[in-house]
Amino acid sequence: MKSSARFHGHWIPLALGLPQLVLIALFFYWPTLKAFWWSLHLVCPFGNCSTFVGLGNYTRELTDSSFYAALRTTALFAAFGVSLSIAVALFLAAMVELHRRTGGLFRYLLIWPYAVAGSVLGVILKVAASPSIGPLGYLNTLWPGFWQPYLNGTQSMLMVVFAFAWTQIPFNFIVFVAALRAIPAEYLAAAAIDGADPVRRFIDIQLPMLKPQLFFVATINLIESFTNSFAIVDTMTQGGPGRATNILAYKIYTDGFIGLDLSGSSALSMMLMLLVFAACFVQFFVFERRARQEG
Amino acid sequence: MSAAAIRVQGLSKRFGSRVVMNDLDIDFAAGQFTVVLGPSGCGKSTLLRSIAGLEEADRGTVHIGGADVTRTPPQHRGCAMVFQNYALYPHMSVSDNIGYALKLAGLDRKERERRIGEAAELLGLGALLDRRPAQLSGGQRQRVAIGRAIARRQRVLLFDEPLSNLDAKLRQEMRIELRRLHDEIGATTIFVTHDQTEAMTLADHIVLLNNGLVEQAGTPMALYHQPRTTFVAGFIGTPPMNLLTARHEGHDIVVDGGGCFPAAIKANSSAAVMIGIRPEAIDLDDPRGMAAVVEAAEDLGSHRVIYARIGQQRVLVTYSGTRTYVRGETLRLSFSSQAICCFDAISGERIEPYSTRPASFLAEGCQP
Repeated sequence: MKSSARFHGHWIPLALGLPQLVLIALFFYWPTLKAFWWSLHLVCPFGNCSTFVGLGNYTRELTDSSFYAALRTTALFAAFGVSLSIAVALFLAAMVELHRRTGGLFRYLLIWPYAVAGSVLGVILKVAASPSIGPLGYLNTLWPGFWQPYLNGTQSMLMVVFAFAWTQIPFNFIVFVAALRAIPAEYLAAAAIDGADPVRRFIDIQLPMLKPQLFFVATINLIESFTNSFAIVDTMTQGGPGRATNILAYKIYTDGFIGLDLSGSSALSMMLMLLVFAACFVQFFVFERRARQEG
Repeated sequence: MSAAAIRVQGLSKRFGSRVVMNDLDIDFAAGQFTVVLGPSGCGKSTLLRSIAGLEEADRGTVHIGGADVTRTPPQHRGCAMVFQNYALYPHMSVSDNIGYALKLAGLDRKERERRIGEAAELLGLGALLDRRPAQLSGGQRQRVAIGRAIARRQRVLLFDEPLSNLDAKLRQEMRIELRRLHDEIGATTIFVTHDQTEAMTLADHIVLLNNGLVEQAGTPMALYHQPRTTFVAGFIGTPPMNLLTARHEGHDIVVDGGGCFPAAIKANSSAAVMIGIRPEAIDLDDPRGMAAVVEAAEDLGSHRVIYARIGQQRVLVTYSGTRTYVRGETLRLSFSSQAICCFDAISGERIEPYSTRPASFLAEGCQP
């Protein structure tokens, strides 16, 4: 693709980009640098004094069993959350694509939830999952004491995983539908002639061709499950019961702002950032490259 | 594998307000190579896709081997098909492409490999089996697509303009190969194309479509020598049949711009007619012939194509002699009246002459 506009000199493009660059610098790079600086110091609870400790904060966290518990919870949450988001979105996209003519309406209906704000969704899901007033509370009328997401760790994990998937599915759905539409109809026609029913066509033709999008969406979802899952956990379970849903992002918040251990939580957030970088790295340098070679 | 006859009845399809198939009734004989020919947009691809089950017709039925398959999904119709853009699965190797249908059919690995090997040998694909489609040339992809279709040994083989993406030399080779394959396999073959050369060289039977209707169906020679309409006359043959406007007067036909010949046809006196004459049936050096002025000449080595004018009408003549003709030269054209087809100038339909006097030649002025 050729660029349609061309600027002479460096000043105009720089000036046009400046507002965005300033915002990013102020709200992303600066806090990141600050956190990095804190992670190497022992900081007083209100940040007004500090002593350099080198990697001391890191070794402290890495020898703390609660760090590994949070890591395990994060892995569990990510694994189930990402697979559920992808599986449901893929199923819906495939169904819509199967009926291209009537699928149009449903395509819009299924994209809509993407426009619902996260906190609204949190409230809705909190009510929906409430053991006393929500639709799921009805289970307790049938089997008293069955649905207790605020007492039963497994059920509360289930609840936040479901809520997380709910936030990711519309985006995944959009990506999958677009990718499926881009597959030339001739391939599916050829497979149908070859004797493949719609399910086989999906597994043998459409799914392999969706590989790049699958990897892309998996990476995005994984990063979201590391970071944006904070809001869900905060509104729904606050990491409980016990520490059943205390994922790393939430632990950073509680350690830092409730435990007032700013240094430790800075070290944790640095490590979380490394995880996100690793996910991006794998996506760009392993999956993308492989997908390009295969295409 | 036995071949199956295909019958479509009353097949109609419209896209919006455009009618692409208008109540088509066509029989495709078992084991025959039928070419569905026509200009782009005549409905030939839609017809093929309706037979394959990829397109649902608005009305009408499709029977394959006596069974009504109108509502049968494509995977259960027992057809194999070669697509215009080949539609090879890009993520599978050549052998997996060929073997995919066999796998779905439940053949075991050994039988699959045997069949893939057979198809590969038949099409000279042996060295390419492990490659991906992206690593193949256009001609090789074409062969793989054909291999994929024939390895299944289906009763019906469908081709949707499979040669249109190949260069001229390759196209010629593939034509011969396809005909050879058909003779070996013996499946009912339907081949869609807009190229009349492919139709003439490949077909046992040609169905010429125009605007969603069958213009003429018959053997290549029937379409060539007895075109039913001016459309057929102008479509078949390179260069196509010359069509000259003329009038029917008494027992003669008078060509506009000069010349006439005796022919009795069932048409009103002084009715406007078109006469059709093949370029190779014209003699260009007959002292009694009618005058035509050379406009241009193309020398093709084996023969020449001469563009000439009779009055305002253009005439193409092919000539295999050695004499060269130059622009502005006057030719004396004549032809046997038996080589002529007469058409109604308005409907374009052929008018059968009920008496032609053999060996009468076109001359300046007929005897009263």
